[in-house]
Amino acid sequence: MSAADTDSPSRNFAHQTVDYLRSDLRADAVAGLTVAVMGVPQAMAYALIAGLPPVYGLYTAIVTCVIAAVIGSSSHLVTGPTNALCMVILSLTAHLPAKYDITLLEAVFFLTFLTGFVQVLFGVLRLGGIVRYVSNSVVVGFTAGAGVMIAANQLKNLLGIDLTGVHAERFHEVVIATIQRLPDVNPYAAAVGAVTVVVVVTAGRIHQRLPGALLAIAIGGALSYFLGWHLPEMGANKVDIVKDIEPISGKLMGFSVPSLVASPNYELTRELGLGAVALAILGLIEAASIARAVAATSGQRLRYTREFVGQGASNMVGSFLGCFAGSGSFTRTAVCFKSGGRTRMAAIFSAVWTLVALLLLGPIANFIPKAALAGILIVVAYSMIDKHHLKLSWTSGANPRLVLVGTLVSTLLLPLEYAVFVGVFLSIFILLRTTGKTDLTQLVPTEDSSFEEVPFNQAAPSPVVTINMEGDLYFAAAEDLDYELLRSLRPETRVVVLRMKRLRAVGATAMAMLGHFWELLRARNVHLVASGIEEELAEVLTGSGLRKQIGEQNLFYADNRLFQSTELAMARAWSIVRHEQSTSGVGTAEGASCPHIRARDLVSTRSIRFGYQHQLREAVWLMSGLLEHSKALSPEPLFLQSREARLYGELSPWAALRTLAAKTKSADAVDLSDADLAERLRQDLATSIATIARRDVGDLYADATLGEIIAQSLELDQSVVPICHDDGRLQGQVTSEALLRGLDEALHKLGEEEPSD
Amino acid sequence: MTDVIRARELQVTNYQTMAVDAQVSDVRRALVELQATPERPAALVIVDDRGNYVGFVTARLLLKSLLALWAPQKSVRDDPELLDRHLLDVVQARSDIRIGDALVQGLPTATPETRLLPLIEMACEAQLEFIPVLDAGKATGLVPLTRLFAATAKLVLTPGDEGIRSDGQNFT
Repeated sequence: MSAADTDSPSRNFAHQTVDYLRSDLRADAVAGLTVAVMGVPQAMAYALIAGLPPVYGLYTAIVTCVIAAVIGSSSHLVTGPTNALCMVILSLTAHLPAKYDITLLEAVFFLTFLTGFVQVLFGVLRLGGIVRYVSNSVVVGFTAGAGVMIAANQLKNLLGIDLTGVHAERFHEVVIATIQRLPDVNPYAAAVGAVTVVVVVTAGRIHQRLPGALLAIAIGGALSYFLGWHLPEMGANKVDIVKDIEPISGKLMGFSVPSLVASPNYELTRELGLGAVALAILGLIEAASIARAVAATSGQRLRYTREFVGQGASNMVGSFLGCFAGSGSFTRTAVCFKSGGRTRMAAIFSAVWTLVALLLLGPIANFIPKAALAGILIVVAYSMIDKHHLKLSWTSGANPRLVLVGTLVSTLLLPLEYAVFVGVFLSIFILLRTTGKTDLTQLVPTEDSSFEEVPFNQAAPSPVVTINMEGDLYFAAAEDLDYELLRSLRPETRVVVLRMKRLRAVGATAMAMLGHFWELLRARNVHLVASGIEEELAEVLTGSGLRKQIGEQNLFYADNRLFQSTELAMARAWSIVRHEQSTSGVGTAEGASCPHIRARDLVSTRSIRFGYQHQLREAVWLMSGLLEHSKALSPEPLFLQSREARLYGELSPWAALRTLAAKTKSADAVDLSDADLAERLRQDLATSIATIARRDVGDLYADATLGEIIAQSLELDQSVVPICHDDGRLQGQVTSEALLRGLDEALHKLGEEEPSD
Repeated sequence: MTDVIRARELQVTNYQTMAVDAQVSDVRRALVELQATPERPAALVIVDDRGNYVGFVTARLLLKSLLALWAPQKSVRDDPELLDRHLLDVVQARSDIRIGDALVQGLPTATPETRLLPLIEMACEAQLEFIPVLDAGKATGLVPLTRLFAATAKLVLTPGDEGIRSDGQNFT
């Protein structure tokens, strides 16, 4: 290895670093600061959703953000606490401390670890594609439902109502409990909450870039602090502040292995397992959809496997550093990108600025009123009800509407982890129902030799029914399709042509269905012809034995030209119909689209017959004499016959000349006079023509069609094709010129071209 | 009898030409029309816009080039009516192409001085009914196989070879 090779990676890294410092550092630092200003109060408030002290929201915003940015694929995704995930965390863990004699934090950290583990597993097993099958309506419905839940849950904090000791987890329980305690509203807390809401809303209306949440908690906090509403002297009207939940110490939580990870509780793990999977899926859906939305603008190519591993790793590591499960945050990611963040360093900077805020402003943050955080969350909850996308899902048809309503309602009525599964299940169910369907239409030939596609079962009655099958034909779609196909049959139907060109996912069940359909047709004495058969389908047909059952003569394989194989299948179908009608004495109805020129129309009986026992000398003399007599310019062979006058073979002029010249090469005969040449060519005149005649001259009769004669002439390279009687005697010959004339006539009859005179 | 037979003595010059840009369907019709005049060679010499020889085509060569890729599958071959339909489809599909793109490539040509034996070799090699004769890039005529055969027969057969005398007696 050369020195240059060894140095290049480090040199490249140095160059990249210098480039970054020069061009992107400032933009990323500013974007990170903007995200932190907006994100710090948000992170604290989201922790409140999960029922945790606000400081854990900050830890999550720092740790998960850095790890996901370093490991993940997206260059712009900002990871951290998210409202929907926090809602699920609350739903999953709120009841655990009482049940297992553990603290809420222990349960949350363990859940976070499990969630991260599942996400890493999704990444490693390359299950990223699954996310694509989850409808957008699930995310819209779940987020809206979570928004309603958050609003309901935060109403008590906003109004200063104490629900301690009241069991209220589901939406209706929370709403009822809050309404029942309305007389206990703390007017001071309500005032702080109202001010916060007004400031957040107003700031957003004045300017999009104004840090409304930060201003709101600053103003709300100042109001409470300077009027002394947070002091114990206020008695029952005391406004709760962050310090009352758990003081922010102004330092990071140290590294510690979650107790339940160190010594797992089997029962708890079993109980939390399903929830962890739901949380993991929800987190991945959020992260993937947000990263995809930004990548659509930035042009970055995402690798979902890496993104999933990044998300999982951030949660696993985060659980050791006091974090709860986080994911990609839409608002913080959008702010980061719009604020000019260019690289993944912008997200890391947002974490750094959050850390700075934690270290420097921690003591001040302790005086933020809980009602102020609740006020922010009420506004967030309102924004989670995405009216535009809700309307879009509602008006996009029955399927998205079903997913939307199903997810939203189950979010309000069921534990949130189940709501996620309901949404995913509904998505996959509808996906299968939509894709697992074979669309049937009918093809009707038109006058210009193409096909018109008409709705299934609405074509005019005809002996030939052509059905176009499109879509998937796996087990879900195949059920009852045979009986559905049978509906196209009419009393006059003699042949069913199935065009299978656009079928996908044809499996064993579909083959069984087709086999059954074939049997049903056979029982009705109706024939089955299939067209547009692709290679994959042909293999399945062969493997199932159906290819043999239907018969190779009834199968037509997909060609490059559109409808080519279907045209042939139709011709085959009409051929069957005509045959049946001719044998039953019924007149031909229609479909005689292809004009047929037969050998009898082209044959010339002026063939030269000769005994096969003669010598070449005699053959040459005969042929030359005939040529001299006729003055013809087109060569014709001698047709050799056996003693019984049956066609034995053919001696062409080329074969005769080739034999004469076999022993003399032109290179050796340059200086020869013609007399000398003649002497050489005479050497083989005594050759028996039986030894040089070709025997493979085919066996066509007077009713051979143009296609058969041309096919044979090409296959055997014949310039003249012999036509025989049934007993093997030569009837005549068809020359290449006659074949071309026949072809011209047939094309003329087909009506597409002007006739030749 | 001349001492040495050459292409210029065997060629016919009443051949018909066609432009290299002509459509295959036109060439097909022209070849069919030629059948009405058996005294003319059933072949067309294809020339460019300066009259230079580009190739030649007979009924057999045209069928071969038009149907070079015609390989009907078994189910089609087994049904004569389908085979006809398939054949017409393929020919129709190629009707509009220029004859210059449908010529059989690599066919031999002679010069007016080409002698009998090389002419025989050329005709046999590609089983040609005609051998084009070129001079300075332009066709001067076509040597019909029939004339080539007749000249060869005249050369090799002596008066003693005439007639059918064996009557099968020399064949066992």
